Amino acid sequence: MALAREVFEMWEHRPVGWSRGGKMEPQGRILDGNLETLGLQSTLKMLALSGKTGVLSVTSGQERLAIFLRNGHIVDLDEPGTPAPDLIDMFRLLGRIPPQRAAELRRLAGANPATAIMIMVQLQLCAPDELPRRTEFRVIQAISRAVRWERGRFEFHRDISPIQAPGGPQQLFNVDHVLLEALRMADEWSRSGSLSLTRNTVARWMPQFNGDVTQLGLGREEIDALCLSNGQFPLHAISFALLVSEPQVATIMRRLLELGLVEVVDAHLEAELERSLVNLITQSQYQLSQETRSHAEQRMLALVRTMGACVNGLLTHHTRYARMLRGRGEVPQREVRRYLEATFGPVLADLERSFPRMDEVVRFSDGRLDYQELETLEKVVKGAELSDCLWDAVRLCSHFMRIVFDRVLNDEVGNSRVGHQFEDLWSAFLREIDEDMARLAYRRATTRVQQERAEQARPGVVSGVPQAYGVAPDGRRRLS
Amino acid sequence: MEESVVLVVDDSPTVRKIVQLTLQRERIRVVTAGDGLSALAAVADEQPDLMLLDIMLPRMDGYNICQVVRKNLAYRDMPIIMLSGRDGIFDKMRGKLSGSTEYITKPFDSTELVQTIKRHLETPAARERAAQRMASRQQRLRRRV
Repeated sequence: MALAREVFEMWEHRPVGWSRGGKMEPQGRILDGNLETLGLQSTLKMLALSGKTGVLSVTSGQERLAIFLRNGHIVDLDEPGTPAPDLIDMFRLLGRIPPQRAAELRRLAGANPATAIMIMVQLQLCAPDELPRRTEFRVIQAISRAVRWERGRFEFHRDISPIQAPGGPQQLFNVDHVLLEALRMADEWSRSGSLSLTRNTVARWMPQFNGDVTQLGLGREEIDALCLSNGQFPLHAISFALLVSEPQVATIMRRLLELGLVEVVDAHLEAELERSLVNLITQSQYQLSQETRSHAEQRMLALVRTMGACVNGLLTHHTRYARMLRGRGEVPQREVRRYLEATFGPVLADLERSFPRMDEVVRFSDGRLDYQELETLEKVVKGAELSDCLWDAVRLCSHFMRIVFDRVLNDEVGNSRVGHQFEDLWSAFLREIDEDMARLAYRRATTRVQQERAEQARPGVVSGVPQAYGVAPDGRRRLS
Repeated sequence: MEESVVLVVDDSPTVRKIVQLTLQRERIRVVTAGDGLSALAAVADEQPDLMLLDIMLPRMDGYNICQVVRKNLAYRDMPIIMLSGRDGIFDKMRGKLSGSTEYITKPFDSTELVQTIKRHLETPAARERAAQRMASRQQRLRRRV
């Protein structure tokens, strides 16, 4: 074990220039800019052609990456914020290391996967080329993620030595080869865009599965992925352990999900999603509980405001958590709006065919539901026509809000446990809306009956002849 | 650690569900009641560690519930958090006078709600109450066996 200890000490060194907080020192910066003007591919290619040595740091929203170069070749890569995969534990679960050896390895290597691999090579538990193979795989995976970032910044700091350890085994990776593989992998992610899984998704075995796994016809990689689905390792860690690309692991996980062998847990995403949706529904419920004893028209307008604000809240929430927009760093607002309008615009257009009065009154613009026209509707129409218009608006908003929520939830969490919890919560909120609408419908019907009786009681009125609506001249034109 | 029990009294099923969902994530058991009288029955049956109480309730309002609960010696120290859409100084003062421990204004933020509840549940008195409840539950179970 003495040799292993030496290796451990050698690999404990961190790259120079990348401080603990992930911030770069300002000196030595020779190139910086926006990813919109110069993409990551072009920047890397340029640095490779000029044979540069240093570190290229890229940031997009919350995502960060540092690529270390030596003489125009990639030597290593750092992903601040992404915890190192627990390779020892994963190898133990895969049966590649006996449990007692795993404990010993952990004591020696700590949490550093590179050290663990080096020791395993020394102990002949791994092939001698295991470390360079895994480093190359990790570099390609990370760059395949970064090439999908459209917005963000990059900086290149020259003459920063990638690894301080003198004489440490270091492989140079050709930038062209890495880029080609990364782009191929990015394509795979785009193709699997319909999957609800992200690289941080964690899967865990279904406790109630009673079937025989051997009868399911699972392949080698599927069995390995199943072994690692213990609710602790994220998708990217499983990908690193199996040396199978992240989109492929996502496809395997989907199959395991379909077979009912695992369930998906993305604790961080679920917690954020839950907080966002719970706060939104709390706000909406509070808004709904206000002005309950107002006039019928005012109450209808209040309901429209509540549901409109809820729809807009859901849309804002969806811009952060939609599957299409996740994992892409900072997405341009224009694209976000286009996505929302393409997803929900046709739904509103369809609904408006059932409520023709609402055409152009309630519309979808700039990725938001615009119902401002309803606020000034009383200046345009009055009496029964105003009441009918507002009732149509209430029903339209109610239908639209339900559809938006269903689509948002289905897209973000799919058929998961957290999804079912929200369905329960949403049902409770909808029950309150429905009760309010039922009360309004009753009030409207009562008012109508009273008006009809009053009309019939008035002398000279012939039953069955339509009465003139109290519509203002311009309102009649707009709403006919 | 003993499991904490929180009683949520609100006439809105949405608010009850929201609090339930938020607190379950923190491994806190939630019991709910939709009106004043059910709330008093739940206090006697479940012996909660904390009560989240809305003011506007059918059959008996939050202030009255608070006063009735405080009259019972066994629940004199139980934290009662008023949860209301009214944020005037008069309402807060009335809540305080009727015996509430804290006042949270609706619409509340789920993180703040959890922090406030945890602050009250992590006191030695709350832990002792949870232990007592567990002991009495075990005793009842033994008697039944």
